[in-house]
This record gives sequence, structure tokens and C-alpha cells, in this order.
Amino acid sequence: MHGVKRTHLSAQLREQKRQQDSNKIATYRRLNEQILALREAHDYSLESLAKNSQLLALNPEYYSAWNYRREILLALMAALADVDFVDLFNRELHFTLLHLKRFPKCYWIWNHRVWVLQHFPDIPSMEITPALIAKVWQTELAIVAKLLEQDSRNFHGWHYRRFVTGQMAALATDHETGAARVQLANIEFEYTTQKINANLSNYSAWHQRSKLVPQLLLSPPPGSLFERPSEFLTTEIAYLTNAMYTDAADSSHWLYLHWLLCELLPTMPEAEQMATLVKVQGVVEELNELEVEDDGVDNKWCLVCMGWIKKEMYRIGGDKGKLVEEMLVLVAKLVEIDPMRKGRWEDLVGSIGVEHEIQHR
Amino acid sequence: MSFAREKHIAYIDALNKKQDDYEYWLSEHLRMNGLYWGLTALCLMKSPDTLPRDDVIAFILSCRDPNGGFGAFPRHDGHLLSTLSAVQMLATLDALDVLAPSEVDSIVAFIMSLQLENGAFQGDLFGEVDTRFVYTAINALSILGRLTPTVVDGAVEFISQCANFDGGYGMVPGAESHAAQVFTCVGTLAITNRLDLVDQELLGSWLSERQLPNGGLNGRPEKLPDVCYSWWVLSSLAIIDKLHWIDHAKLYEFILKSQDDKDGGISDRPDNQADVYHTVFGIAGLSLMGYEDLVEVDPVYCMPKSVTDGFKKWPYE
Ligand SMILES: [Zn+2]
Repeated sequence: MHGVKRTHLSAQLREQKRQQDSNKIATYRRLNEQILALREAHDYSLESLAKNSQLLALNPEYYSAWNYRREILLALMAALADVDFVDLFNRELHFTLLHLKRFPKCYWIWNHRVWVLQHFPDIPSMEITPALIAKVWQTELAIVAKLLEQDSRNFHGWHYRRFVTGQMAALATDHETGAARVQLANIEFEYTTQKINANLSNYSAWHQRSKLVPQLLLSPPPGSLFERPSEFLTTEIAYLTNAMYTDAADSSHWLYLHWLLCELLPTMPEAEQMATLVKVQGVVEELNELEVEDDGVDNKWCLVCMGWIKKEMYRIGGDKGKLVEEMLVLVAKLVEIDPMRKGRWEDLVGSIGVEHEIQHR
Repeated sequence: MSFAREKHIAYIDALNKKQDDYEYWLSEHLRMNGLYWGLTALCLMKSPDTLPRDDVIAFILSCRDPNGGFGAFPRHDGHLLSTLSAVQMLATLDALDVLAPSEVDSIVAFIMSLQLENGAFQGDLFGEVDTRFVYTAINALSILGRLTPTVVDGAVEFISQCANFDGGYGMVPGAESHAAQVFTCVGTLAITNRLDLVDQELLGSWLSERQLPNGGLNGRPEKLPDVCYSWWVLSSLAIIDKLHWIDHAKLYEFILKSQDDKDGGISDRPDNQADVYHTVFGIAGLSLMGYEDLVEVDPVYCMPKSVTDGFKKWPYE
């Protein structure tokens, strides 16, 4: 149970709840018993489907009831029952959407929606065309975009979005598949920019970006920045600098920056790597100075980031002795300003020392 | 506030007697898991006999599905989640021998039948895929001593595809890191002896950042703290040997503040309604940090360490 306030009921209120509950329990148990009996009798009728809907409306977490629902749908299809299947499946989609609005985090509802969509092409009907299927996925994309507007961090929503775009890419005919994937990845990259612009701390969007960048660098859309990785890196660093200056305390863009540097730098000539690191270091140091002026204390993420940069410089071959000393100074400051993670910073002191010793042996 | 041990024991003991509550009936689909949470919490609080052993075993056996697995309740469908809870409880009660060898074979066959070509597991035949189910399958097979190279290699391959830019893991390849999914992935890699695949520095850092100024832990950046994450984050840190990367005293305080000191039980955060799920994970977190006089918990299996010590370790000789 999440986010439900605790209440201690008085004896009178408890008795009141007991009476209310007793009616609800009777209804629920009667319906549940009917459904179990129908299922055990292998009843796969539209009437049972309707009863099943009633039960799931009371309890959308009841996975066995969702399973029975799918058994009914499969049996109706197998028997080529005299029903309008397109209409039936559309009503299933409507049914799940209705419940997702009430329970956007319920795994079973999401799962059923996916199942319905995946079975759409199998339904016995003359009207299922590739154009119709494409339209179905377009609709799904619009629905999930709306959901992510209401809750931009709902991970079911992001998961579903990736699933839908995956299905859209798979729809392309064989010789188009590559191009379709690249195009979709590019659209999704733009989508993360849009989400981040709306809220810099949208960690889900930064995450998604980290998944798309390697794909796009591997197969760049013609004419895009991804064709020129070092230019892309420069642009991305400028974008991140803006994020850092707007909210230095948020971890999202810092972690993305760390990842981006580790991912892209090793593909570049060493001189260019060093120049990039020096540039980023300058930006971060300046930001930290501003933070110290404002708050009187170092910004944790600036210090952490300077540590990352120095570690990379050490790898490429800066003045190793000096870098180690500077890293140890940073860590000592971190122990002070971030005492909850003292154990982590102390371990870091140890590992910097050990690594340096191994290098020098 | 002090740890309300006796109240928590009484709270769990009373859970099965709440037939007057509508919620009792609405949660049938979670009963097997709920019983595992209750039993485990009681064992950790050194009160394993609070629930009559024979009753628990009888309930577990009554949930057997002809498909080979266990459902959450009699006449409910066999599912990996409830199958793991059933197997865990039988192991905790030292009662695995109530299953005939042919019955164990059919449980193993049920679990293995749910592994897909890419190494992932679906929760049942209706296709939901999630790293939770990989952990569930590998955990149950490990308790039964029935892992195989094929099952293990596939699972490890799938899990490694779920790693992310921040060192964490998500529910499927591409999905955002989430502390509960991290636990299932790292737990799977621990059981299969492949922790070498984890970027332990990076993951440990991300996990340690889950602790908020009030001492509680969240499951993802920018989310509220929650007692169940004291388990998902803490156990993951323990598995990669970085339990000391967060502040134990502050987390201890947060968990104790989330107790219902009147009626027993622990909730997701202070002043919320207690439930058995947050009760067991709160207590397991306390055990992992060595607070209160609790039985030592195994961070990989979330069962008493004395029980898991007896499991056959992978790779089998
Ligand atoms: Zn929780």
C-alpha cells in the first residue's frame, strides 16, 4: 500500500465500516464465485466477458481474472463466433484505458492492453489492413504522450512508449526497416529534448536520451549532427551547461554528462579529449565558485564532476602526481559536505591511492 | 521511538483474521506473497511459530495449480510470483520434503517453460516480461537446487542487457533504473555467481544517492522516500559489499518513525497506513544493518541466513 494516510477509527466508525464492508464483501464474493464457476465450466461467452468486466472493475489486480478474460477472447476467435471482432477489440482497448486512468501503475492492466494490441492482427476479420494497424500504433503513441504529460516520470508510460515505437519500427517492410528505426530514434531524441526543456530534472528523459545517442551515432540520420560526433559532443555540453547553471543540485544532468564523456571521449584523439576536459572543468569550477559565493559551501555535484574529469585526465596522461593530490582534496571536501555517504568517500580515497600505486610500480 | 516488536508480531498474527474487511477479500490475489512476507517478518523477529506450521503448509499445498506452479490462492492461476513465495516458505519451514520428487519436477518444469528464447522469463503464459520474473525463476530454481547452464546463461545474458548509463538496471532492456529492479538483477547475478558483470562503483554510487536528508531511501531520483526501498537499495548495496555507503543511523530512525506504534506494522513512510509488505521489508532492512535483536537476513533471498546457508551454490560441482 502506498501513500495512504493512517487512521485509527473510533469504535463507532469501525462498526459503521464493518457494516458497509459486509455489503461490499457479499457482492464481491458472489461475483467472484460466479466467475470461478464459469471458468471451471469452460464458459467462453460474451455474457461471461461482461461479468468478468464487473469483477475487474472492482479489483483490477486480480490476475487470474485477466487470464480468464484472455481465454474468452481467444476462444471466441477460435470458434469464429458471430461477433464484430474489430468492435470487440476496440472495446477491450477502451476498457483498459478506462482502468488505466484510475490505476496508471497497475502492471496487469498495461499487460492486458499489450496483449490485446498484439492479437489485433490475428482477429478473424476482412478489415484488418496494414494501414489500420499503423493507425492503431499511432493512436497508442498519442495516448501515451498524453499520459506522460500528466505524469512525466511514470515508468510504465515510458516503457509503453518504447514498446509502441518498437512495434512501429517493426511494421516497416524489410528494406525500409533500417531507415524507419533511425527516423523513429531521431523523433524520440527530439521528444526527450522537449521533455527535458519542460523539466530539467526529468530523469526518465535523460535516461532515454542515453539509450538513443549510441543508436543515433551508430546510424546517423542523414544531415544530422550525429554524423559529426565531436560537434555533437560540443552541442550537448552546451545544453548540459545550461542545465547545470539552472539547477546545480539535481543529479540527472550530472550523471548524463558523466556517461556522455565516458562514452564519447575514448573515440577521439587524445589532444581533443584533453581540450574537452579542460573546457568542461573550467565551466564546472566557475559554477562551483558561484555556488560558494551564494551558499558559502561547495556544490556537491560540482566536486563529484571535477573528480570524474580528473580521473579521465589521469587516464589520458596529465600530471599524475598532481591530479591525485587534487582528487584527494576534492574527496576530503566531499566527506565534509556529504557526511551521509562518508563510507563511500572514504573508500574512494583508498581506491585513488591504490590505483596510483599500481600505475607507478 | 523504540522498535515495537510485540506489536508487529500481533499485527501479523491478526492479518488472517480480518475477514470483516473488504480489503481482505480484494487481496486474495496476493495471499501467497502476503503469507511469505508475514512468515519472513516473524522469523526475523524470532517468532517463527506464531503462524501454525501445519496451517501454512496446508494453505501452500491448496494453491497448487495443475500447470505445475502455485497460485496466490486456491483456484487462482499458477504464476512465478506466487510459486517463488510458496517455495521460499517451504524452505523456511524446512518442509520441502512435503513435495514428492515428481511434484518438484513439475514445479521445475513449470518455471523452465516460462523462459523465452532471449533468456528472459515471463510471469505466466500470457507474456508479461520483466527482470522481476527472471529473479523469481532463478531464485526458486536455486532453492530447489535445479539450476542448469542453459537457464543460467540465458538469464545472465538478458539481465546484462538491462544495464543502464547510471550503473542501475530496469525492468527490460531500455527501461529506466529503478531500485527494485536493481535488486532483482543484482540478486540474479549473485545467485548465478556473475557479479563481475556489475559496474559496482557506478551502481553503488547511484544506490547511495537514494538516501534523502530525512534518512529514508527512494527508488528513483526525485521520488519520495519509502520503507520498501530500505530493502531494495540496502540489499543491493549489501550484495556488492557497499552497505556502509549510506547512513545507517538515519535510515534506522526513518524506519522506526514509519511504525504504527499503536496497532503494529510498518508503513511506506511516517503516518501512513501499515501493511505487511512494508513491515517485512522494514524489518529486513533493520536486520541487514544489525539493529535490534533480529535474525540475520540473507540480502539475496530475503530469507533467514540460517536457511539459505543450506542452498546448493552455483556453479554446481
Ligand atoms: Zn513501498
